[in-house]
Amino acid sequence: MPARFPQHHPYRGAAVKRGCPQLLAATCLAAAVTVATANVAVPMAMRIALGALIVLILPGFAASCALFPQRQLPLSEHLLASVGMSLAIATCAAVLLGAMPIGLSRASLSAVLGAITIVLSIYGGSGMRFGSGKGRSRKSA
Amino acid sequence: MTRPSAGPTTHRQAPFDHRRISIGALCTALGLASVEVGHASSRNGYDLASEVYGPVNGRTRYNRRLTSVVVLCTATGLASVAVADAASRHGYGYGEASPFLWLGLLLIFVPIAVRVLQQDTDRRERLALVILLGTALYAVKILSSPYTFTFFDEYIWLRNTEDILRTQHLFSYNPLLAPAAYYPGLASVTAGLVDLTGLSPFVSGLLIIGLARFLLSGCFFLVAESVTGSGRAAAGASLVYAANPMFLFWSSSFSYEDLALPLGVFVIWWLGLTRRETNLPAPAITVVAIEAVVITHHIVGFALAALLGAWWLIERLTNRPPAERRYIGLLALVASTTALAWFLFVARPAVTYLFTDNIVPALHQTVSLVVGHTAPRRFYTSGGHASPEWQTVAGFAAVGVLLLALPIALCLAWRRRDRPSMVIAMVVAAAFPLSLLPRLVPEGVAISGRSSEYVFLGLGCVLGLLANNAARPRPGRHLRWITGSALVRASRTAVVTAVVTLVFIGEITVGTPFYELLPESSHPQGYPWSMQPDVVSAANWTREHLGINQRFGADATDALALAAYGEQDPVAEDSIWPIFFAKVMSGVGVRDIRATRVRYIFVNWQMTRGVPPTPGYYFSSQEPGAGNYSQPFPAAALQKFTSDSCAHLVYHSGLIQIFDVSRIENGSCPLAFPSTTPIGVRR
Repeated sequence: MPARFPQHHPYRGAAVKRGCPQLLAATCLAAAVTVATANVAVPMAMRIALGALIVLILPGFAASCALFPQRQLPLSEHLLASVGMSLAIATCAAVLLGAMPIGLSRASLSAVLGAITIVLSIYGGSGMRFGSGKGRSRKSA
Repeated sequence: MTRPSAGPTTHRQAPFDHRRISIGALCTALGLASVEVGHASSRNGYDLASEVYGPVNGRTRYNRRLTSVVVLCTATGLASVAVADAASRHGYGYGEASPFLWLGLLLIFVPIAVRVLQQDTDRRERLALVILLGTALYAVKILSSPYTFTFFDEYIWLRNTEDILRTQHLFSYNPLLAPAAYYPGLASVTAGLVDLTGLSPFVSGLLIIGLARFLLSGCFFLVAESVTGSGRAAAGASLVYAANPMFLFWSSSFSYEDLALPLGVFVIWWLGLTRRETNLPAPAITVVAIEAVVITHHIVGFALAALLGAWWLIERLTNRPPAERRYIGLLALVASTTALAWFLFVARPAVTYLFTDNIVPALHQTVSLVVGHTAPRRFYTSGGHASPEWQTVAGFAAVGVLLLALPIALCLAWRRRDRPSMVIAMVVAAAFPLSLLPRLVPEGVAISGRSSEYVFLGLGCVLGLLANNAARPRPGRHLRWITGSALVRASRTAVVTAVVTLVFIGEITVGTPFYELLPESSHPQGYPWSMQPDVVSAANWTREHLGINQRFGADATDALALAAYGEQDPVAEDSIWPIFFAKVMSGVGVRDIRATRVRYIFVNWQMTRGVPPTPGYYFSSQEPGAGNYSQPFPAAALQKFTSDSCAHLVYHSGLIQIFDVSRIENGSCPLAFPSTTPIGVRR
């Protein structure tokens, strides 16, 4: 059963489509590959692509899918949400690592961002799989 | 004296650089992608605009052909800006190069403004074009400095990033701005991107700030849309925001505020979108985004907390549903407590920096001006340069238009005071005239300029309503065929576009000195206002041959290069100027070298060739003649380093010399101590 936005929600009644589990699986895979290749020599182009994705897009994309498992947001706003959340998550993760004894390094940051992305992807994937259970809204008085 | 065998390269001619091409391609791709996103969402069958706001006369449509024309105009505009930049670098004067710059800016701004203000434009097309405008104006900044950072703040954050990359930890001492190390959000995420991609800090910084600009443009449109309830008003709001004096260059720089502000606007949009969601990720992600703002920039953190608090308060007064209200209140509490705790307990140097160094002097001078004790400063003159007359007129006209339109716009907005967000926008917009006051005094220019980035958020929303109202045809009872005709509609749109364009052009001249709109010539005749390649080479040489964290004495511009590229510790500018101004290397000079523990003196003979541009000094605002120079720095004051036997020349390339004065600093060199006075600079 597709999720429905509550009353007064800006997108209430908007067309709701099934999310794209393949894209989420690819996100999960990219995160895993980034973590696995953190300390391995890989072609520069691949390192740039994976690094940029894991910092700037993937955590937010996974979070966006976790929050809206049914694809209610338009693509443009989905992209904005992905970028915004990724920047926020990456900023907090980098500062946390830098403040801890482990330090901010390629291995530590890729592990943290990869783990966040994979967990959120699984959460989002389960939302797509099991429908609207996670889409509850606050009751309005 | 040893001259470095492999002296620093002073390549004056910019070489072909694939990085520049890739950055340009990236920006263009980003803009085109934003347009394509609109197409894609259109193809996917989402018709959210009509769900939420309803079609405008049932005629909105995504016009691909017109969008393509607008994108083509934007690309042409960027090409024109690139021509202006290249001409300026090759030594053409401002008068010869600047027409291409203004033409390019008009080609970028006007077609987008016309299209987003038209009545029949689809909401998704508006969003895509507004994002295109933001990214294209960001590309203007990149074209201006495609190889390296240019602005003062950028070097502060470059130093922070380099420190984090080197130590893997935060809070290293930053000699350029001590509080900067305690807001490590931007530097940390940039260092993380550098670590993970292998890109340089420069390219990583461009990517992050570019995405932040993308975020700001898109999210502000969406926030303004929900505030005003109209896609066209939101487009008008975005145009007005893009016209704020800092948007073109300052807000595009690699600086903490330019990441924090987009994240703050994202939080507002995200909160409006998800405030009714109760599943775990929604509040968790909102809190993460709020914390990202708090650890990135102080003022944005406080502004966000204040905005959330005001939102909660207004909703409480207007009897909104308690559950939603509580959620906003809780987040306001989180934002305010964490922002305050970070400010007071972690970023303690920021308290002095904000209040003692910036806000209090600006307020003091402003009050002094209001009570008549201080004369207002002269506009459009700095460092011996006077702006072209038309720019002065455009700047005053832009501010005048905004001041005239504000009361009318506030009256229109008052009709929608039932929306809490509109009330907040009105309060912020009403602060606009007040934010102009500090601009009348020298100490208040920075505060007035930077406050525009916040004030224009509210100002944009209320003026967007006015733009929407002015561009909308009002069919009368009689003559409906005239008032509703396409010609009348087009003329209304044209008038609104013309006014917004005037504000855009005028505010650019308000925010940036005219000579900084274009890159500096690769062979500057006078004292340069931007970093020169030979200074960067010298700074790199110091890192390789002298080691990092050496205490240097240098002028303000070269200190940036030493700190950012050489990873040296330039001594505070207020302490260093007496050493340079002393007539001979004894007495005052020796005492100050010992007191400041300076080990190396960086001498740039370019100082003797011209007066300093904005803000009008070589070292510090405390130096004699600061802000009033009419003659270059006296050569005799620099000659003393060459003639003194205790100062050992370790580097000499072109006009750059580096002296080792450690023997003076540690007292191992016997010197005579005749009394001396600083050299007065002829006015």
